[in-house]
Amino acid sequence: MRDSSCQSSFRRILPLAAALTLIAVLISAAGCNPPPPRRAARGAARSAAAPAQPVQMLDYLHPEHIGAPIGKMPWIAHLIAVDLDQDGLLDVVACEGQENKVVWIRQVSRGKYEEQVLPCDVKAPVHVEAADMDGDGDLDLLISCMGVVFPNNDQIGTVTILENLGGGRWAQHDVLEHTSRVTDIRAGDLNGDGKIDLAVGQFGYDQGEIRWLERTGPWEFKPHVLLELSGDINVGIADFDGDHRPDIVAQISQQWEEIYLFQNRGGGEFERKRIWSSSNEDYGSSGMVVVDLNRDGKPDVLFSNGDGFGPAVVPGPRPYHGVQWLENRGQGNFYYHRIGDMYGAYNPVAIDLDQDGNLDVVVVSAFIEKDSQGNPLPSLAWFRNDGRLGFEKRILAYRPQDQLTLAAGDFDGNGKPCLVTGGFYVFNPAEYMGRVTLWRR
Amino acid sequence: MKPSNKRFRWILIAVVLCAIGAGGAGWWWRSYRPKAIATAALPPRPDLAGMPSQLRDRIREADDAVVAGRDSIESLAELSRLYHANGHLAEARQCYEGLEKLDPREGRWYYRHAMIVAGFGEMDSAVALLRKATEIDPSYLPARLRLGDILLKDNKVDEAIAVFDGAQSRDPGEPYSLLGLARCDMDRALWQAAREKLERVVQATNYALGYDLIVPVYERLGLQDRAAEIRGRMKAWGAFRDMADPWMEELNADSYDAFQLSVVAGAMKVRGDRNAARTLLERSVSLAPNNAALHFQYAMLLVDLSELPKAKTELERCTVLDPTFADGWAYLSGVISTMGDNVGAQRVFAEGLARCPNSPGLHRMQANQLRAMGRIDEAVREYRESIRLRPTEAEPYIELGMTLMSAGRTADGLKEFENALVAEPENPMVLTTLAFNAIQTHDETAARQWLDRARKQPRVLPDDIQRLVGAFRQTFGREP
Repeated sequence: MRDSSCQSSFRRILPLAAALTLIAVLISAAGCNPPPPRRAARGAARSAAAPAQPVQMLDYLHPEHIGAPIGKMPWIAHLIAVDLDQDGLLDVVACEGQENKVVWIRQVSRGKYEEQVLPCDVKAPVHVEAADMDGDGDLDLLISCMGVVFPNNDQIGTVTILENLGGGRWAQHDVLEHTSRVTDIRAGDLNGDGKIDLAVGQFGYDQGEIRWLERTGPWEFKPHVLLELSGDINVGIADFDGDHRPDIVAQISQQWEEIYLFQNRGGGEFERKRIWSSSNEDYGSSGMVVVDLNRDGKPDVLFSNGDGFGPAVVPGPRPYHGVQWLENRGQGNFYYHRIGDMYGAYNPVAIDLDQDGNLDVVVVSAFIEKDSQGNPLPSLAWFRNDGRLGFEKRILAYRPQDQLTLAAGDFDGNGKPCLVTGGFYVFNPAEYMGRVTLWRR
Repeated sequence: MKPSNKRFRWILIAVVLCAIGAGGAGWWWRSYRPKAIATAALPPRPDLAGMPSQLRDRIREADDAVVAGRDSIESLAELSRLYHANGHLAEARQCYEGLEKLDPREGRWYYRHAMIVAGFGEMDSAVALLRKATEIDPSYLPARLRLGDILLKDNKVDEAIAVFDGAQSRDPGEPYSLLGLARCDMDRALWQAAREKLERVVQATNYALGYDLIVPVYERLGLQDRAAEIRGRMKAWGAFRDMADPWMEELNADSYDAFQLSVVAGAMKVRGDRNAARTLLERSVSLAPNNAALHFQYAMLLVDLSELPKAKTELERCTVLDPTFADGWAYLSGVISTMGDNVGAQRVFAEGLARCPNSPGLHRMQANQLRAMGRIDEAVREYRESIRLRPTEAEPYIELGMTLMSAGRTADGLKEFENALVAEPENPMVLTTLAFNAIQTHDETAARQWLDRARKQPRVLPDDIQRLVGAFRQTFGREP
């Protein structure tokens, strides 16, 4: 009886004992002797991923000054690579914001450049694009004029078209005047009437706009406001939603920090939506370009943020300055990808710099001398595409400093891409200044 | 022993063992689970070379404490603050992910995490985090306002309205949520509704908020005169005044980045919170005592606070650290003059000009002083030098023009006014001066043209226009 009683009690207690043993084992395994600590993997934070140390490739490109020598502190606000005279040699057209000039640095023979000032009366030109506005087969110029480069809310902007009459002759048409300061103009048939219209970005200052200008005559346009916000940096035209109608995209800075898509609904009607925005009013949007970065047939949006001006005495670096792209996933939907960090980043360009078949991203930097540890900052960087849209940062140059604008093209006609950059010096002369610099491999 | 006693003993043992087990589990839960979570959230230590040693030490200590399981929450929180405040946003983000698990009732983690991801435009994540933050602390207004703003930016206008309305019901008339609602109205082209809200915003903030949006709203509504009146108030109004945000501003105490502190201080000054700005600038200057720009910024704030002796000391330090920084000399001279020492001010000014011979600002100041002393030819030379050094500003041309005209060289003076219009196409003073000159010289056509331009410039005061119209009428005997 005794034994059977004990056995019975034991049987009753057995499950409890087993449970306690299990708890003890668990405590032992998980608590008393915990496994060695494991840190979270780097890069879990997608957008704010800490960058690897960039590779220095200071000899990869060889700089050469082209055009007029440096006189005053250069204010090259924008430049493009374009064969303006269609002679088969790539030229440079640049805006000199301080001298109120648009200059043509013509490649007169392979590798030889001569600069001439284009005959136009413009005030603070800051952006130039080439387009055949009159259908005569040559390239006209669209010149965005701010009136004054530095902060000013007066309606002193102008949309200027410089008509190419051939033979080195030009005619100026100011098609929109006394308006908020103009920062970008792009050409396209926006209402499908067969005539080339314009999309216009107007930074203004406190007030600004995005407009499209409907072509109503040879050099007459009717303005239509799309958005009333200040701070436009760039606009772009492309069929983003695949409906075979050109849409407009606009990058807005100031305190808004947003990118808008104006979807073309036909007949001059546009439907607007924000396709990206930051809640950080100090994000510093500083340049945007339309490019099919992943080569899926849909235009994407590549943009930078690096404007370091703000409430401090001097402009300076921000930890979020850098380059990113919006992947076009169709139907007006976009997905944000961070490419990399770059203090003072401006004017990103997509180009297959190493000719490996993948579009890389190159970006310039301006107005920020040093990082918070006092290290000098690069003025030209390359984010090399590894073929899977992963980008590795490579520093191409520290000097000349303060490069604000960048373009790319095959200047030497050998199939190798070159870069061309423009310098803008706001305050005192920099130690290493450059006006227009051609970078060859 | 009776079987019942034996059974009782077994049960007792089992209960004791259960209690020990439960206690052990609780102890593990309290001690080792936080450690495990904190360790898992611990980001790899970034390259801290070049960082201040105190920051490196604090990060190392907090990092070690997390690994060792000492005060896991506080150690991870310390790390999150250090990383966030010093620009290591990826690391801060990982810390917040851990803190949200470890300390889920603290709204700060979700809020600060949201601020990082929303900064990069990851709105879905930000919205979820901000909803959590507002749920935990419904009284923290910035979280509500950021949530509304982010929803609006994410094209979720109806949801944004609900959030802003909620903020309004808690705090009626609160200008930031009213501004958000006005933006929602503008998004839906409800111009009259936007106007009503913006009028309340500008009235409540004396145009510190809403000045930028109310102008196009008036223009949409055909109220051009009202729009022009606001446009005319300022050449460039400028910086956005962000709301006070204590949960973010707490991070500044852990920042070792002198420049970032100066940026935040600048924003606080714009917002009108000069004492907070002062605290940050003091910290900034102490972190980078050899940075002339920081001493200058601090001095400017002290001038605002009417603390001239301290401002003078800071400006003196600025000029010692960077003798080529012309503004340092200019303001030092000005402060000394304001303190009543004109001789000292002049001596400092002369030294500044000698040290900064290519400063357009100092040459312009010199010119103004010479003009005041009646030394016109020398003043003209100085103005011309200032213009040569910086031809893009209208004011030196205007001052030179006035100097020449006052010396009887009217034609030369007018030429300088025209040059001023190249630098600044619609400068109001130039337009009114040229209009007045045309009236005086009986050039009716030119007078009409200049008067027309002056009328279109909102920054020309209505009284000045009336005076010009009166002069025109008197001179030409008809309305312009």
